[in-house]
Parts: sequence; C-alpha cells; structure tokens
Amino acid sequence: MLQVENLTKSHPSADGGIEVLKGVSFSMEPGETLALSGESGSGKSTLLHLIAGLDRPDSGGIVIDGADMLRLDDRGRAALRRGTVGIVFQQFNLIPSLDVAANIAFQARLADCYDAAWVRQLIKSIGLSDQLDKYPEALSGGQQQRVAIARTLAARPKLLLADEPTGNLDEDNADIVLTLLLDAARDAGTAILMVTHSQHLASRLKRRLHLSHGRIGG
Amino acid sequence: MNAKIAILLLMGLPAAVTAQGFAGLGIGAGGFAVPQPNYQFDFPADHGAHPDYRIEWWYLTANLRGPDGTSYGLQWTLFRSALRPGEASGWSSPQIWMGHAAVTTPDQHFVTERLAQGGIGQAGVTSEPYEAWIDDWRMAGAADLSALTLSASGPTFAYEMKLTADGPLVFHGERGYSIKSAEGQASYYYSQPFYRISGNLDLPEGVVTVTGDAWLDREWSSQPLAESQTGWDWFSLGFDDGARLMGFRVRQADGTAFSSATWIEPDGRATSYPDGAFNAAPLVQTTLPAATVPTSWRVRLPERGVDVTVEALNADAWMTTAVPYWEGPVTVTGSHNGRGYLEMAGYDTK
Amino acid sequence: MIRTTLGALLSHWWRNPLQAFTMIAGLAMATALWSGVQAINTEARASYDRAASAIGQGRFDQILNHDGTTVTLTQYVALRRAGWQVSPVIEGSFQFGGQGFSLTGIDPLTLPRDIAGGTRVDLADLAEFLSPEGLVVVHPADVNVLTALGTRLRSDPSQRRGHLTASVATAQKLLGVQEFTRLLVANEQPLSRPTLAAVAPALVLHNGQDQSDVARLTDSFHLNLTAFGLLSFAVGIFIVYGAIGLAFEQRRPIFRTLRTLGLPLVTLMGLLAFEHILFALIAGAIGVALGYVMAALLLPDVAATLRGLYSAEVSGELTLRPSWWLSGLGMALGGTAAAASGALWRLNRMPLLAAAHPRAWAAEAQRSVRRMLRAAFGLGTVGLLLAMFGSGLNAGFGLLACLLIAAALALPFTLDLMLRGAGMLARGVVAQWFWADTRSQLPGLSMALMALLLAMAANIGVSTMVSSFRLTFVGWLDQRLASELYLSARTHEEAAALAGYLEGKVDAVLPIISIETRIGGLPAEIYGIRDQATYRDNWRLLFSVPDAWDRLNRGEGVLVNEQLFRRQGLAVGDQLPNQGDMVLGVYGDYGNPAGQVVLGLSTFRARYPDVVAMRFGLRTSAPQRVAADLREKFDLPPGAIVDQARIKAMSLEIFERTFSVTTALNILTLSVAGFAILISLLTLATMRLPQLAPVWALGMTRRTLALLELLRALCLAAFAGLAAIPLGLGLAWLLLAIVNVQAFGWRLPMHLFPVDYMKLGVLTLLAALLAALWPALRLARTPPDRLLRVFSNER
Repeated sequence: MLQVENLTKSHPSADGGIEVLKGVSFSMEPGETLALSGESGSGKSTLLHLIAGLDRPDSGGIVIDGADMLRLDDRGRAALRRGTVGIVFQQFNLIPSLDVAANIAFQARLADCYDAAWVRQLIKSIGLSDQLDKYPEALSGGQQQRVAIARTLAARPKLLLADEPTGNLDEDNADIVLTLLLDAARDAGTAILMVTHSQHLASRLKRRLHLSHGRIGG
Repeated sequence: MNAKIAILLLMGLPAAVTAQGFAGLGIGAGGFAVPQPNYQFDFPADHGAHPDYRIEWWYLTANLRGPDGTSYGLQWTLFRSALRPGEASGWSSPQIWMGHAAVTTPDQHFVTERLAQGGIGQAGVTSEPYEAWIDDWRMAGAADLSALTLSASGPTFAYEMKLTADGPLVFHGERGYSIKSAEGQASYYYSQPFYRISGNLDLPEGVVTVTGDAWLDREWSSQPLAESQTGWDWFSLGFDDGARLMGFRVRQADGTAFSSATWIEPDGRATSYPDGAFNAAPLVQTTLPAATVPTSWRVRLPERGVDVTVEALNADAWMTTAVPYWEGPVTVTGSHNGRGYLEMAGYDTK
Repeated sequence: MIRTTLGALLSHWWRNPLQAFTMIAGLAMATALWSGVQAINTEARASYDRAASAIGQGRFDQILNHDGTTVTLTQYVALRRAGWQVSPVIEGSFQFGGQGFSLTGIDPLTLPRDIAGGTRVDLADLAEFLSPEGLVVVHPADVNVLTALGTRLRSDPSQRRGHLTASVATAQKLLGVQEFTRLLVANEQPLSRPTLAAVAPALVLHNGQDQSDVARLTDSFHLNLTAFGLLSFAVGIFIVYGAIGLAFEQRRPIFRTLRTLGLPLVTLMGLLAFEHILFALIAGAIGVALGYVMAALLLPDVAATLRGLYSAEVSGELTLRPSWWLSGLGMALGGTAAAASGALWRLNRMPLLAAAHPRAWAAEAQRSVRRMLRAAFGLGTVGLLLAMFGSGLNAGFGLLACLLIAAALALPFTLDLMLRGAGMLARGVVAQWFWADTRSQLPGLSMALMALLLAMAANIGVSTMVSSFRLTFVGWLDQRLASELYLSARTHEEAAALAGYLEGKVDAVLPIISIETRIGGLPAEIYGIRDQATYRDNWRLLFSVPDAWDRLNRGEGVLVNEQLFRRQGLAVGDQLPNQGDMVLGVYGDYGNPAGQVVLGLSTFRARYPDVVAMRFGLRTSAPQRVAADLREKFDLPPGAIVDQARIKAMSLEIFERTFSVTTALNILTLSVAGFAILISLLTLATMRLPQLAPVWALGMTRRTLALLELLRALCLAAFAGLAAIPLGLGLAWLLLAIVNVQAFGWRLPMHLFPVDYMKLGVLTLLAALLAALWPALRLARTPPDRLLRVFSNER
C-alpha cells in the first residue's frame, strides 16, 4: 500500500539548511491505521506533506499503491491526491463559498467518483444531516472538521493522511471526531496515517511510530 | 464616389458601357435627337455644338517630332455631354463639358483634365468664328477649320500649336453617317486628317519646338453603342505615301467585334468599308497599373493590301483621367510605313 | 473536474458580491476613463479634420472681393479662362418652416478634387443635383422640415445639422442671390497663369494658411487631450492591476485547498485565466458604455471649444467608432492580462505549502518593492537617455511615459521610507504600532496609491499646462490686440483719407505694415512699427539687449519672434541671415507658424518705400464713438472695423470651455483613483481582522481602531499627494518645454498655481477619506464575536 524508503529532507535556512528528515523508512498495509507521533519540529508534518506529494524529498523513495511518487509530475501527483490519497488538515481547509453539501461532494466530484448513496451514508454517520445547507463559517470547529473528513472519505481514498485533525478541537470533540474518522475509514476500507502529538489519540490506532530528530524511533 | 466620375459615365465613353450607371444611354433617346442616314451637313454651323444630341466631341491627335528627331504625341479633346436635350443660359444649362489634354514622349506621358458646366461661358464651341474652349484651353481659327491655333496647360506641362489643313474634310461611313453596331447604332462622323502642325511643348525638361501631322475627329450622337458592346480599339494611321486609314473595331461581350474603316487617298478621296473588311489583332499585351492592354497590333485591310504592325511609341500612355482609357501615338511598319494614333477603351476592369 | 472547480471558483464571487462588485467596478471605471477620453479624442480629431477640410477652411486659398462684396460670374469666368483653377461658392442662410438654415452652393464640376467633408455629391445624385428642380443634401434630422422646400432632398448623415449643400443654381434660387461669396483656389494650378490683378483687379487672394494661427492653437488643445489620454491609460492600468492583484490575494487560500484536493496546477491556471477573461469582457463592456456616456456628456463642450476656435460648425454628436470601443475592450483585456499574468506567475512559483500567512506575504511584497524600484531605475535610465539623445514628439512622449511609470513604481519604496521615518519619530506605543501597521499595509495598498499618485500628478500637470497656456495666450492677446480698434482700408486712397481724418481724433494711429519674405528658406513676415508706448508697454520680450526699444527705433537692429529665433538657432546680439540686422530682442508669438521680424517704422519705410499701410490700430479711450463716427463718415463695410474687446472675449470664452472639459476629466480621474483606494481598503479589511483582533483584545476600542484606519488612509493619501506635486510639475514642464516645442516650435512659459494645488490636495484627501469611510464604519460595527472567532479558529 505505502512504502517509504530512506527519506531525507532539509529546509533552507539562513545558515545552510536544517535537516528535518534523516532517512525515514516504513510501510503500511491496506486498511491499516498508523499514528505518527513526535514532539514539535520532529518532522511529522514534513513527512506527511512528502507522502501527499505537496513537497519533494531530497532523497529516498515513496511508493503509493504501486505508483512511484517521485517519478510523477504535478499532474500525476494531483491525480493521486484526487483519487488515491486523501488529506485532512488541522485547519480544515473548507471552501468558504460552498455550502456543507457541496463541500462534502467536492472531492468526489473532482475525482469523478461521486457515489450519492455512499455520501448519504457518510453524512449520516458523521451526523451532519441537518447542517447541509449551511456555510462553513456558521459551523463550529468540530463540525467543520467533520465536513473535511466526509469530503475526503467521499472519494474513497486508499490512504488518508491526517495532520493533527483534532488539534483545533477540545478533548471531547476530538474523541468524537476521531471515532467518526476511524469508523468511516473502516467502512471505506481506507488506511489512515495520522500525525498527532497526543498519546491518548495515538493509542486508538493499530500501529504507532515515533519520530524523533528526523528518525523513526521507538 | 466623385462627382466627376458620374459625368464621365454620362459621357458614354466605352469604359462606361460596362458600368451599371450607363443604363438608358443606348436605349431610349430620352428626347434627344437621333442621327439619320442621308444627312446634309451644314458648315460652318456643324463645326459647332449640337446640344440636342446627347454626346459630341472635338478630338485632335498629332504625331510630332522634335529638333533632335525624338517622337512625341499630342492630344486635345473637348467632350460635350448633355444631361437633358437643348441649351439654357447660366447655371441651369444641362450641358457638361470635359477637356482632356496629353503629351506623350517615348518614356513619359502627361495628362490633365478640365470640367465645366455650359451656359456660363466657361466652356463651349462657336462656329463663326470657330472657337472650341474650356477654361484657358482653346482650339480656334478659320470657320472652315483650314487654319487653327491650339493650346492647353496643366500642372506639369503646356503646349501652343498652329495647324494648317493640307486637304479636304473626310466623311466616314455613308457620307458621314457612321454605323457602330449590327443593330444600327450610329453617329455623325467626319474628320480633317490633313493638318500640318508646329509649335512648342512646355515640358518639365524644357521647351521643345516640334512639327508634325495632326488629325481632327468630329463626332456626335445620342446612342453611340449597343448594350452588348464593351469597348473599342480605334486607329488613325498616316502612311509615308500620303494615304491615311481610319479603322475601328467595337468589341462585343461575346468576343466578336464590329469593324468599320475608311481609306483616304492622299488627295482626300475616301472609301468606306463595312463590318469585316478591317481586321485588327493584338500581338503584345502590356500590363499597366490599371489594366492590361494590347500595345502592339497586326492591322489588315486586305482590299487595300494593308498588312502592318502597329506599335505604341510609349506603352504606358494610360489616361489617368476620372474615367480612364489608353490613348497614344503609334508607329506603323509592314506593307506600309508611317505613324498614327491608337485609342483603346473599356480595358480597365475596376 | 472543470465544471466542479469552476463552480467553486465562481461561488466565491457569489458569496462575496461586494468583492465581485469592486473588482468589476474597478475594471469598468478604468476602462470608462480610458475609453471616454479616447472617444473625446477621436471625435475631436475627426472634428478637426472635418472642420479643416470643410470648404475653404484652412487648406485652400480663397479669392474674395477686396471690398467684402460678392464675386461676379464675369469675374469667375474670366479667371477660369485665364487658367486659374477656382471654384465658386455661394453661402447664405434662410428661414424655412420656422427654422434657420445655412446653405452652401457649390459647383461639383470645378470643386477641387482633394476636397473632403460634407460637400461630396454622389454619383447617382449628379444629374439630379444639376437638374432644374435641384437637389439639396441635408442631415437626416432636417428632412422633415424641408419636405416642402420644393427641391429634391438627399439625406446624408455626414451633413452637418441645419446646414444644406446644393448646386450653384439651386442656391441662387433658394437664397435669391446671383453672385458668389468667394472662390476656392485649387492647390493644383497650371504651369503659368496671369496674375490675379491682371485678370480681376477688384479681387484679392487670401492665403489659406493665414487662418492656421488658430489651427495651431487647436492642435495644442488636442495635445492636451492626447496627454490626458496617455495619463488616464496609466491610471487605468494601475487600477486594473490593483483590482486583479487583490482579488487574487483574497483567494490564495482557496487555490491552495483546491490543489491539495488534487487539482492540477495547469488546470487551475487555465480556469483562472478563463474566469478573468470573462470578468474583463463584462467589466470592459460596462466600462465602454460608461465611457460613452461620459464622452457624450463632455463632447458638447469639446465641440463648442472647437467651434469657437475654428468658427466652423463641428458636430457635437458622438459616433460609435469601432476604434475607441475596441480600444476600451482592449484596455480591459490587456490590463487584466497584465495584472493576471503577474498573479498567475506568482501562483505558479508559489510552493504548495507556503502558507497564506501575512508574514510570508509581507516578505514576498518586500521583494516586489525592490523589484519595482529596480524597474523604476531602469525606466528612469531609459527616460534620461531619451532626454539626452532623443528628439521629436515621440521622444517627448516616451520621456513622459518613462517618467510617469518610473515615479509610480518608485512610490512603494518612497512611501516605505517616509513611514519608516515617521515610525522613528513616533513617541508612544500606539503611534509606533500605528506606523508599523501602516507599513505592513503598504503592499496591499500600493497599487491603489500608485493610481492615486498618477491621477494627482496628471491633474497637476494638465491643469498647470492648460492654465499656463491660458495666461500666456491672454498675454499674447494683450500684446497683439493692444489697440482698442482695428481698421482696414479697401484702397490706398481710402487708407490715406482715414489716416488723415483720424489725426488728432484718437490717441494714436498705428499703421500695420508688413511684407512677406523668406528667411533662411522659410516663410517670414517683416513688420514696421511706430515708436509708441503701446508696444513698449504690452510686448513682453523673452530675451533682449538693454534699451532694446530705443535701439529698435534708432534703426540699430530688429526684434524677432520666438519661432524664428529658435528655428535659426539665434542668440540676442546675433545678426539675421538676410539683411545682417542685429537681433535686439525676442518676443513670444504663440500660434504663428511663420517667422517674424519687426523693424522701426522709419527703417521699414526706407527699405520698402512701395509698401503702403492698409490696416491701422487705433488707440482711443472711446472706441464705440470712434467706430460709429468712422462708419458714418466713410461708409465702411462691417468687417472693416474690429473691436478688440470682442475678439478677446471670444478667445477667453474658448478657454473657459477648455477648462470645463479639463476640470471634469480631473474630477473623474481622481474619483476613479479614490475608488481604487476603496477597493483596496475593503479587501484589506477582511484580511486585517486577525491583525486588529489582538489590538482590540489589548484594550483599544473598535471606534478608536476605526478612527486610526481613517487616519491611516489620510496619511497614505497625503504622502502620495506630496510625492505627486513634484511629479505633476515635472510632467507639466515636460509638456510645456519639451513636447510643445517639438510639436509647435514655441515654448510655453510655465506658471505655478499653488492655490490650485492645495485645492487639489484637499480634494485628494477628501477622496481618500470617502474611500476609507465605509471600511472604517464596517470595522467599528464588527460584532465582537467575529473578532473573537479570530482566536477560536483562525490560529
């Protein structure tokens, strides 16, 4: 499903560049859920962005569902993000000018794989049935994140990348949202790679990796 | 569209025949008098204007030679065209006058034109004394046309000439009744082909004293061409033995032509030849900015043993007047040698 | 994919109609300003051409009767038969159906071939035109009234309203006259012809070029409009750039989201390009329509100005010329393309993850400030090279363009410098925050401020030019029309009789005596003037030797006009090429294409004993009485005595009209620039909440924040205004000293109008205040929970 091979990445800075990832390797099976934890600045988000094709590594390899990410151009990476890989951000990144229904349907339509029955089921399972004609600005943070999750899962990605998806939510809300995410992903057969600094949340996923100073640790 | 073009269309020049605006000219005469056979000419009155007829002209061409042997051609033409029959005094006159003057050298061609309304004295023709004028251009002299002075001027050239006739007037067709088409269109047509001419050409290079021969055509009508006729080629040739030949072919839309000719003995005795006797065929075509025209011809009148090549002195003798045509001096070689003038109308396709 | 994305992109405008409105309105107003000025310009130019080619105006010499009466048919025919290529014209007016009509009778057969304008006769009309019942060519709107005229009518939209054209015969019949008003002299004449005096001694030839004095001034007016067109273009481009650029910034987060959701960059850019073309077309169409309305409102003034200058009828109606509405749409599309391509390029280079954080944006903006400064230096260098090595009108305009754009591009840097300075001087934490925050606002506002700078500079430049022009022209009128009355005699005898009669009855009789000649191969006039206080008091010498007037009257030298002076490259004290006369002084002679030399009267008489004065200037304190007395005693025709006050009043009226057009355009330009500020502030307002919320949370009221926002807009406008004054003056100087000299050969003295600039400054601040008012009010009324939300989810 996902093979990450000896990834390195450094960010430019005033004195030459900071090496953020120093040779990271791991792999994931289909449907597997994996929590990636680590302290601030350990390179969690950078790793996620590299896997999503939003950024390019200095060296190493990423293969997703048989596709070599590093050989794809912008078009190819975009196609991968549309269909195979879904992303959920800490800041939700909803489209403010579209209502909830349109936001949820958006990615599936973009990927041309819109399945009305599946979307209805998703909406029901995340409990947004009565919010469909509202605009994101009228929703609470937890509701917005649920919309973002539904949007991603509507396209049935094989791999869902989540970057601190509950980072902006209080603890109770965070638990509910995570539960919804895990349940919906199970229904869709989607593997999850979630970045979180919360041990509590990490413990709810099957596998855990700890990133420390740019390397996979315990 | 310039007003002047409209007038020229009304002039009935062959070029205009192809134009849409010509409608009505060849057909009903609109109250105009129509030429009849067996007309008794009345001179000197008939040297003057005939305002009851639609169109009329006083057409003088000359072959000249300068002191160094250079050949020149000269043209002086006064056209009359009536919007309505008859004359009235002042600005209500229906007569419109147009003058064309040109001088042709082997490598240059100078053209200028004038326009005037009748009735106010700016242009006209009187027969006693004889005077044809438009603005400062004049052809005037003896009432029998035996001696004339001639002048014209333009922005780039001018000339002053004296002419003396060496022979009698010559009448074309049947005693001056000249048929122009198989349908019977006709005009009154006579010439004075025996002028000796001398004078000065004022050209940009300087004044040139010249002498030579000149030919005056007088013609008037109300219906000169049939609707199916597209233009004409007109030759006036003077041979070294003193004989002269006038021949024309009016081209038809179907590619055939209606021809007519007059053979003139050195003493002025004239013989007219009907359609078919006179034959002219283009040899060389020259492409000018405005049109492609034949500038070399094989001209034959078998009954007189004439088989000659007629060649333009200057192929670019295009008249850049409001309605354009080709008019210039020619040389004649072959069975007979000599010089003459060629007019070709209806070649511009614009 | 495409439909879904386009839906998402367009939904932004649907959900934010205000932003959509401001962007379309900004684009539309820029287009309107440009196309409106363009419309006036093309129409004015077409009007000049029409007026100039209308019968006898300017281009053709004319023959008139020396006593102002008519020309007879005999005289006309005599001239024609002498070879003179002349054509008769009958002019007159008559009442019909309760309306007044002016009628021109022409002879289509002799009308000069190169004449243009409303005097053509169509092919189909010629027989009718010369028919006994006659044909009258009329404007379509006049057809109904004239149906009962008794002639045939031909309606022709190119005919001026109320003006008819007919044949000589028809005009004679309708006007009840027999003779001609004048004869037109064709430009092409035969090789030689007798003199006019030999053919028709009573007639006089008027040189068609004589009237071009005024035409030159009209050209100068036209130059005003051209300069304004150029400036409005620059202002428009900056506004379009600002509007598009800001709209882009607003949606940057959406673009990023779309890309993370799997939209390829190429598709996104293609869709954005499509969207912008759509906007440009809509806004461009609205702008062209607005420009049309604006031009239609202003055009009557322009037409009136030209009518005054030419004393020839000029159509005040606007025709829809493809050239200007196409150029309007082109402006909208081109401006959008220029602005959008920059934004798209940035989008292309922007890393997917670069956050829409203001800090990153500021860094980018800082880089762009430096880029603009470099571009400004480049343009400045080009301008300098043009000034040093270029010559001619185009180089002048090129210099103008370089100066303007370079100044605009350097503005963000200059303002940044000013704000940094202000920040250093600031005491107190609020003041320091205010200046720092204003600096951080600069990138978002810089395009609008550039537009404001250009608008103000254009206003200062053009007003200075027009006002200087007016002052100079009035001064010139005073100089040239110093006498109260001007008197023309018909014959030498009459001249002598008039001069004798007037001796002692007026303060002074000043003979106007001149000959035409050539100096250095160019046409020139030599005048003789009497030693009289009138000249010393009224003629301003631009350069002179000491005691120039005394030396002139002692015959020691001459005065020359500026044209001759510059053309011959003379210096005061030099000798003239012809006679070796010493140049004692130089006077301004605006609008005259020919060189002029002034001699003392006695020197002139000694040199040209045959020339007799036929015209006189009369100094008197009672012009009306003298004029009436002369008319009674000498049976003078109406044009023989000219009251200079009337001429002056007429000329001034013309300038008032020029002014009204200029003022209207000034106000429009400024409002458009004000609108650009409004757009920018509104756009920034939404982005600014995260910046303002902490300040609010720290205890500053929304009211105070709003007031500070107002103050900020005023400060920025004031700084831009300060920068605009030197730029505007530089612009005026270029127009007066470089462009005008290249175009007309004389330099307009520059006058400064500090009060006007102050008024303009106040107007600019007002525009900025108005623009900032709404955003500030919105800020003051922002519900606290919106500010709170900044803390809950934006960070």
